[in-house]
Amino acid sequence: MSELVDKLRAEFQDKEYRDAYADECLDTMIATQIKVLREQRGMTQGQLAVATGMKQPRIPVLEDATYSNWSINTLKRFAKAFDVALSVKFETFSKLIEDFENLSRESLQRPAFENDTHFQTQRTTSRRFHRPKYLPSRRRSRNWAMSRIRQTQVSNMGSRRKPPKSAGGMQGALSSQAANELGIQLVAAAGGN
Amino acid sequence: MKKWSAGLQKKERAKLNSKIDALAMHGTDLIPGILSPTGVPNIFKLRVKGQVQLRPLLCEGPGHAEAAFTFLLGAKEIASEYEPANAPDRAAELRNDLLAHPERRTEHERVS
Repeated sequence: MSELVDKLRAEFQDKEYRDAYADECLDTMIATQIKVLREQRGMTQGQLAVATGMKQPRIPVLEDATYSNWSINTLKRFAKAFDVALSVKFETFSKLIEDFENLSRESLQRPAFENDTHFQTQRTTSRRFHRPKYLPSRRRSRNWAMSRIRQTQVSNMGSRRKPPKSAGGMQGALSSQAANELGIQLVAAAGGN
Repeated sequence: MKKWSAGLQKKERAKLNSKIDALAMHGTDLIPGILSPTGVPNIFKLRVKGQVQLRPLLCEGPGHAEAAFTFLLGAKEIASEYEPANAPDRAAELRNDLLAHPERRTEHERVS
């Protein structure tokens, strides 16, 4: 159990007191996280103002722990600027106090979407396993065909070798059947050298 | 300071205690704007916004008490004026007293 919760147990029996205390905690945590996220991204207050579409003098006001007139829309603008999601949820007082007590730069930092490891993994997986289903363009058809050629070479020769230049420079779309045929021919040519 | 805190409304006291807890737990590096200068050297104000703008005045240390703060004087700010008037100067005098008589410094007594 949190030390602060223990300290606040008696004080929080009063509703007016706990509401006011919690309001102050929330304001402090929002302002602190905005500053921490801005610094994590190496942004100046001016750059954040541009990214949020606000005037520059507004940022230090909102980054102040005493600011209290938050609106969801303002927070959404910050979320978009930092490329993170905004999560607003109701919470128990004990959880709020625990978060307040454990406040630290590390606990407040969040990666932007491009560094969100969960999505990075899914993107890689998606490309690896589903590429053949999404090959409408000529360029993708060629890429897919070349990957099949490389796979064939690896499985046949036991080592990765780049296909000959002439194969890499081939133009135009290939059907999967044509690519397979080409792959076999290339392997044979490479094996003959 | 204790007497001053006890004279506040419950809501103001709750906000003040929240700010004091934040300062005690996290210092000044993490939380933006928790302490502000007053214009008088070594005297800072803890800013608590509300219907009444609480501005208790404090100093770092003093002396060798690193990573510690000492509340010197309870004050409010009304229309950009301190109440009591010249509160930061009075706080500076109290700080000097404290440097001369460090035994006067006591543990913070929380007023709930």
